[in-house]
Amino acid sequence: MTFGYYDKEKFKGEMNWNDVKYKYMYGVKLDDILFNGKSTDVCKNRPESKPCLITFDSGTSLMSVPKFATKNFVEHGIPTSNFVKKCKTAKEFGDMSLVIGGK
Amino acid sequence: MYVGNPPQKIRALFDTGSTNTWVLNKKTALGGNKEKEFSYDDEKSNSRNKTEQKAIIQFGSGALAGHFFKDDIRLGSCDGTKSNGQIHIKQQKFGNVEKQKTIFTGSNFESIVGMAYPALAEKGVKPIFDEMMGQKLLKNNIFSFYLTSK
Repeated sequence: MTFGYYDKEKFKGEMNWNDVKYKYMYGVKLDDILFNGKSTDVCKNRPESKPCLITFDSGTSLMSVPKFATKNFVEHGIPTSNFVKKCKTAKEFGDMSLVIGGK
Repeated sequence: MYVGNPPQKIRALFDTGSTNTWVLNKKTALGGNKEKEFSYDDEKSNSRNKTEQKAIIQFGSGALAGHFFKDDIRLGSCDGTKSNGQIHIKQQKFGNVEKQKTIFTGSNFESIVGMAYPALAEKGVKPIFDEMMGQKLLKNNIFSFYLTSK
């Protein structure tokens, strides 16, 4: 961890900066969640005043979503704690992408 | 991380999902016959300032309770000497953990350092990063994490 600077040797390419929209935790606008390259539509039709947000919590290793999003997840075959899919390998889970700042 | 004067070494978990800072006191029992590897002995710090303000929090993994104390906190440098780059925060207000449930039992840290925004802070408590900015301790008001597989 660093304070006062970040170490450019620790990553490749350009840093992407995102505005913090919700200054309680680090709430950043989330564009979409893709599963195996396909949109789950979790952030579809959100008004500009109430964007889909994602926050980064360094104090947990779990990912949580609100109830409405689990519906979309299940529709797209994404396992959740209420929709358990037994995987033999981590790869079997599928490829999940978070789209932030259009990237 | 080091608390007090002379500095006492403890291990910290930096949490972007909360705002207040919590430090495990030497006198606090962990339960389950667990021994503390590190902890904060406030009676051995000549810069400690107690307050009457109660501190309590519920995390996903347990709960903490105690009172808010003020003391100096230093970040960085493994041997505790004031080497190049150590950050010395004067009189940081933090929750002195007097009771705890599961959080520090068998953990590899003795402090939770809240890195989130002041909107989530307890009344009258300035978060540690705001103290760093206010005391002009940083060249740029930035912090970063590096995630490694090691």
